[in-house]
Amino acid sequence: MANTAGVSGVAKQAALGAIVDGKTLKAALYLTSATTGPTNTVYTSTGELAATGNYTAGGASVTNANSAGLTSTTAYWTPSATISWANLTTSGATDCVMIYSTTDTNRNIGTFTYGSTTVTAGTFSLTMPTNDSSTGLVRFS
Amino acid sequence: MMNEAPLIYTTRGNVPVESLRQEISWEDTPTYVKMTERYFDLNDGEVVKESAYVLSKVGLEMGTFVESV
Repeated sequence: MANTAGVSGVAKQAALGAIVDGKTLKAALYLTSATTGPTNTVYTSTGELAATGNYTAGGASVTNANSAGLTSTTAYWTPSATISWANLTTSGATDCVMIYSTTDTNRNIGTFTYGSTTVTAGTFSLTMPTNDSSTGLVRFS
Repeated sequence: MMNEAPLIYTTRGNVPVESLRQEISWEDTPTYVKMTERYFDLNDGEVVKESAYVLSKVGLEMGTFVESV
């Protein structure tokens, strides 16, 4: 068996864990007209849904009971519960959510898209994928 | 014995469900499935309630690559 090169799984898990383990997280929603994405270093209110219709600026709290996991050399993490807004009326169509860490001065962890969505006096929920090395919301492979 | 019409919360307050038409649509993509539920007022066809439920199938992956020295 030959030697192989690569970043170790435990290093990836440590890196991901430093970002998410035990952190206080929030999820903010953005208008389809916004330009929010991975180049945003921190939470931004630019392009966010207006603070109307039961939407609070900064978004909703994210339940974070999962620590960064590791399978083989892939580290992964997923919020431990659905993120939802009740009795919501969006100020416009939204297609993006930013999950960010208020513990780390609002560091942007990732932005995730879900197609143009309008909510009127209703519920908007984001159910998370299975938390494993194949489908976890954030994976370092 | 309940003999009151069931109500549902809408932009027009609580209205009888029977005064509305429900419509459900699905969007299935490689990364998510989204179910959208709309209620239309039977009188004027206006959307008075709309909810969306997104199931994320897969998150984002950052790959690490090794280059030859």
